[in-house]
Amino acid sequence: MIPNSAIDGPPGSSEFDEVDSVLAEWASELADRIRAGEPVDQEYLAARHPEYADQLRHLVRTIKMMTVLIVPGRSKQGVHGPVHPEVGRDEHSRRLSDV
Amino acid sequence: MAINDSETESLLRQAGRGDDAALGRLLELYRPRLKQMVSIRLDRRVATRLDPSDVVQDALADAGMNLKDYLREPPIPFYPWLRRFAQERVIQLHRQHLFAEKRSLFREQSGQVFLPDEATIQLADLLASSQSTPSQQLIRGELCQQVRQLLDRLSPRDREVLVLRYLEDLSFPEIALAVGLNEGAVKMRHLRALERIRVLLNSEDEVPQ
Repeated sequence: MIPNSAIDGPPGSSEFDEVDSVLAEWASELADRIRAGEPVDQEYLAARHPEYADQLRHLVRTIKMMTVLIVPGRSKQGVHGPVHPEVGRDEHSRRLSDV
Repeated sequence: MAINDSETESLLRQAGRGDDAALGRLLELYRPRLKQMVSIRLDRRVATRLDPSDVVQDALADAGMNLKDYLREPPIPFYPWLRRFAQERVIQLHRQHLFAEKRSLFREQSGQVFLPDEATIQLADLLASSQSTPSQQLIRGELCQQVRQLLDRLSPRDREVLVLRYLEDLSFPEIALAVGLNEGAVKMRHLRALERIRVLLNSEDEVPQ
């Protein structure tokens, strides 16, 4: 169960804002990885980031369910390749692998 | 300067030098992706009268006519720019075919993105047809149906970001351009929409006593 405080923290709370920002960045990175067919080891992530273990498990599960909507084998053309180069470039953001 | 992948950049340069064949190849590269977008966005009532391929063809023609302006100083990457023509076509068709009937049939989204109430209805058919065996089609179709029902229960704002990411398969920078938000805001909206989906899933799992 993701604590409500992590997602619906009180407005203006810098602590909750920071948690949200980290989770938002990770959720987007997980979505990109799963979309690219990269393996995502939930238990490894949970062990590496125990403070976010529940959130990460829930995110992976939900994202995997959402990716059923992506048509398999569809030609992918555009501004991004299999892995988005933009992810983690922001010096203020934290990548899953960096923490 | 907008950033595109190397193949797109190469074709853009050739097209800019007047190579019509390169222009054709460039537009063809993106035709499947645009068709997917139009198929998702086109209201079912309009889709019974029009083939999404025709809408894409018109959008590509529009883009071809405006390509010189784009090449002069690309304001955004190529696909988000191209997608806008398809989006404009879909909006025009909805206005033409349905707005006269009942304006309230639609919900206007920020950034001029229209998401018809039935935007995800075609999902099961669209996705099931992409599978190779009947059993795979069945399983995938059922799962898609479940996801579709969850999407329908989201607010338009939450649903839109998930449709753009998981149905249209747009990257987060592309979504930001499509909805007129910065990338951080889009990622936050994505997180919250996923959380809503999870809450809905949990509520479905709860068996009434």
